[in-house]
Amino acid sequence: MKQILLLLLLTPNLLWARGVYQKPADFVSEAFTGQPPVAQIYTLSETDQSVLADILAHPYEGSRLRYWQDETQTVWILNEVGKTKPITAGFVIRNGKIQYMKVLVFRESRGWEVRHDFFSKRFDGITLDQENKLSKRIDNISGATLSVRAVRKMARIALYLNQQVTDNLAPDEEAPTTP
Amino acid sequence: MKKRPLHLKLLQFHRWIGLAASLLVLLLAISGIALEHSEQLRLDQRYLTQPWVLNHYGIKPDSITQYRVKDYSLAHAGNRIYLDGVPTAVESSLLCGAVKIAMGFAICLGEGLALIDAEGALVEHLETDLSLPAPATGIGQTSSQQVVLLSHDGNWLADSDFLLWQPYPDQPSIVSQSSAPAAALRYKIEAHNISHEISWERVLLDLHSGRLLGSWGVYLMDLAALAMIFLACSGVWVWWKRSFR
Repeated sequence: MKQILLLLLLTPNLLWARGVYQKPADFVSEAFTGQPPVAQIYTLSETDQSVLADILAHPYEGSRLRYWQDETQTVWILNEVGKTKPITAGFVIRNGKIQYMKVLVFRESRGWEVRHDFFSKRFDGITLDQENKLSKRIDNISGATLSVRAVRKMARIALYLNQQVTDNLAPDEEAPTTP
Repeated sequence: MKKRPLHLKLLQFHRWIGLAASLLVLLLAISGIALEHSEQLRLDQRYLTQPWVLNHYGIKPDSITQYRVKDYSLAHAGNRIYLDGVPTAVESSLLCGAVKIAMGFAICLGEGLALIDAEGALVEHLETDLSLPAPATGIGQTSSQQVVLLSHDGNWLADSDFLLWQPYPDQPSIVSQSSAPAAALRYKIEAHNISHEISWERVLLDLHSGRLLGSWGVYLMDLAALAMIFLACSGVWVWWKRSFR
């Protein structure tokens, strides 16, 4: 009886695992406290394409992407395939560090653990090293290996692209917070 | 007459059932090993195009939607966008128009817009929620070649970078309209469309489960599995009897 109740409690969670957790436009708006700037276009150079292909282990699809930037931060909305479907994630970068990130849209049937705060909080404060790798190890989640891998790749890309578009943003004296 | 011991009778059955099931067991084992390493072998990305395979699965080409843009053809079949019959990197469930722009083409996908260059390479995918003022139902151009997005909420004029949109109350000079593709182009698109339907992984899964032969194939594989269970149990029984005689 207990097992049936547990299954019934878990089932809605499993059914709703695939979905839109936050609209990308809302993520951008929230990052700029309701007043996002006009998006800007970053056109990828050959070097950028090469770096992104190295990070992704496949060519990046597209030759330009849009981002949002003000005096203190940049915001990126990226997509990368987990196993078969793309995962959409948003990244807020300040002073070269991930302020916070969030999985916004998850389309796979498994690996949905990455959408929870316990996973996304692991990226807070992470930077990129000289080899374009994350400064902190992000442990795998059993059963969500490909999803974790996809989010790690997007984090690296967001940090890399942030480096390309920012010179010296004003230092942010406040401690990082995740909304 | 001395009665034959049970384990010797079992041994006889073991031999005959083993022989009878050997082919099916080999099939199960080989297909099982291949499926275990499906990702490394990229079996889900390799496709069979033999007519008998496609016929067996009842694969027929998807219907084609085409929009002619000057001398070019932008078409949609399955979930793929084609430029002059050549598949692009753009995947979509819908094609609702296309116009020529400086960098190449702007393609209306319903769930967004895709900007591609003249060779069909993706420049940028604009998703509705993030980058468009409204869900697109069509696309057009003004007399000065500016792109106009058509939607149920009205028309919207794009800037050259597709960053800023403003309401456009007029009817655009050009509205992208669909047309039937020429026969040669249709053949080219259909050939590609059905060439990515049946993967090796799919066929191996069906072989492993017996479904390749329909419901009787499934029962056959059930029998093979039961035979393996019998072989395991009878083998252990005979060994045990012989070991402790």
